[in-house]
Amino acid sequence: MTVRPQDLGGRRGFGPVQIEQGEPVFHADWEASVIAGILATISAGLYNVDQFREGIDELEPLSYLTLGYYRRWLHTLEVNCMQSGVFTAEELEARIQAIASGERMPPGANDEIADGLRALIYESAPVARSAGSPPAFAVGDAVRGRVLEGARHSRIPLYAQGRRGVVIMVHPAFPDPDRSRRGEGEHAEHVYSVSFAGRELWPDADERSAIVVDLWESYVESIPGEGAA
Amino acid sequence: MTTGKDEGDRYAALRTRAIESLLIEKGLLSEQAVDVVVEAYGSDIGPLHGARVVARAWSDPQFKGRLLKDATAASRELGVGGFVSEYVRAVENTEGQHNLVVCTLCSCYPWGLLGLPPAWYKSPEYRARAVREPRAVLREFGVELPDETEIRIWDSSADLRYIVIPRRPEGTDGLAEDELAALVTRESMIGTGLARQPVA
Repeated sequence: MTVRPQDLGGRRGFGPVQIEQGEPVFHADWEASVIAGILATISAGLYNVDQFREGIDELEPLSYLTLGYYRRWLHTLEVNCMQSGVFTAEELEARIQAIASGERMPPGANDEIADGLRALIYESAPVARSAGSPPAFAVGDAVRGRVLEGARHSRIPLYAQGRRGVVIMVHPAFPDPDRSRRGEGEHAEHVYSVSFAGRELWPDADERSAIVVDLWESYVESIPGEGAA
Repeated sequence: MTTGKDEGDRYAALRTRAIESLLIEKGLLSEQAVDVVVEAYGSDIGPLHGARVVARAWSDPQFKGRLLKDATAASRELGVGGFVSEYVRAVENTEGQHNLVVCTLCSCYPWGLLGLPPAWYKSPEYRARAVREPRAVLREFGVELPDETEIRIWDSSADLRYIVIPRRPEGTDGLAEDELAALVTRESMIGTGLARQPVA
């Protein structure tokens, strides 16, 4: 079975949700630096959001579950910076040693980069993409989530694979995450909100529940012998 | 006493500083850019942005219509949106249906409307259980829904982000928009909570 530590939906064995009262936005100063580093390096075109996610999902399962959100982000920032040639592992180790031994780093002032991040955070807007073909499915169509054997990073949860649902919304085209992750450029596909009855997914699911998953067209197939519902 | 968590934090802090200084040296990052993130998400963009959108929807049926049709454009009317809120869908709670938002594959969340996600939203417990046992999860948040209520769980697996429009509490007819916004909690816009009751 494919290892997909990120694919947590419906997994058993997890305890109560820990709710922190009066939770601060940041729990440590370095978290904001990690966010800034990721936004800046993705904006600079060094890697894309799907490669960012891949870096996280590649973690071995125990680390994935125990590192926490921002350390997973730190990990993928590091991995993607090295893969795109920003720095080497040796450079990073040397810099860690230098800082640990109290060496002062030159200050980095650059208004342009700050302005770029501010524009990204406040003004980021929808990007219209063309799928090249009309949507293959319509609202009301009965469909099945495709079974993707061995697909380590695909954005269809295992719980929806091979399961039957109904298209409830048809969305514009978004870049196919699998090709984007492999660096094959943007290939936009229509996305569908597919509703699955809880009991279709798990025998112990709530009878009056439906789970809606947003699926790219290549994650969905028609059910033979069935047209529109 | 040193705990594993403290040690992990020190390791992460040091490693982050090293990466930050390398990125600064290569002209990819600056100290002001980090300040921009701290200011934007530390004190500016937070749940109040989404709450203003919900309060407007409660007060203005035409706005609500636009919000349900195109939440990105409607939120923009109030200056709300931006990064990771480029494609927003608003889903409305009704007497018979409750909506709950999760991202089982990572932690997708409408940053532009609600700010950075709380720790529980990113936790394996929430991500694993919200889709399969929503009522049990809601109970942990102190929400008990009637048995006959349908629960729709939105797993944000693609580029769409979701905001829940909670039900407007009874007895709020005379309230101004900013008073209404004060009743709209972050949890109520994710679906793990309900809007607050006004103080009588």
